[in-house]
Amino acid sequence: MKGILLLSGGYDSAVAGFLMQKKGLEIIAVHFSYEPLTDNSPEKKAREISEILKFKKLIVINISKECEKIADKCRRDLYFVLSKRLMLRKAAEIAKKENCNFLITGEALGQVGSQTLQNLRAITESSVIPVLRPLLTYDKEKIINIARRIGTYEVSSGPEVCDILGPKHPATRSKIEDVKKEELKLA
Amino acid sequence: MIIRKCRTRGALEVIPEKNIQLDLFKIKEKFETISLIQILAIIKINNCIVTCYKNGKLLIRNCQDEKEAEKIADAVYKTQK
Repeated sequence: MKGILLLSGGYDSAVAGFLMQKKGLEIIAVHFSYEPLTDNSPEKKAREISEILKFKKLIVINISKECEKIADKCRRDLYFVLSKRLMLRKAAEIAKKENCNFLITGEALGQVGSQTLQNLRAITESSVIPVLRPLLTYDKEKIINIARRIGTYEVSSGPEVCDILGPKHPATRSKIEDVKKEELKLA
Repeated sequence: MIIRKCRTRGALEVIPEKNIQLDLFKIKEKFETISLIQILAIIKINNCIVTCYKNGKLLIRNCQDEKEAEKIADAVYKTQK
């Protein structure tokens, strides 16, 4: 079986990929780049992590224009949910081409303000492929301990720029109907 | 203005002391602009990439020197006069 891992370059997604790989899933990593809104350091991190963990391959997709459009046209508080839905849809397209059965993300409940059950439900709804979240109930300490053990800690801990398009106060209880209404503005 | 490292320490953040609203079009006219949307403009000054938010907050990448950040902030705020 094969899975598409959404690999950001941070601690969580690397550990999520490692855990699923350990369970026998072949991993193809997808990194979403925001260049030129950010520099290329997240992509570099994702490449290094992919090599360390010996993922089958890494695919990089630039979503800066789409994310700009989300930030420009849609409700600010739904930015994270809308951009995650966009990523899942793109990842699902790749999964289809690569004959993958699952999407894998590093999301963990409460890790950041926007990672709530309601938001994860709204995010998952956009995917036509099952989404696996191996870190869902893990706390940061546990994730970081695994990252140290598997050799990705140093790479992931490099400097990182705050999410420039994200709102200060993201929605924590997003409703699917509201999210879909916002997506109509992007058509 | 307050200059400090941003939350993830990858950039310097400039916070104006007074409440201001930036006219992002004025900034676009003056500097090389990477992106301009309703809420922010991303511009290039020397080798630094500066994200200018409507509320006056600036996020300056590729700059570790607070003095340089202050000069950049002054140049950005000057466009509003």
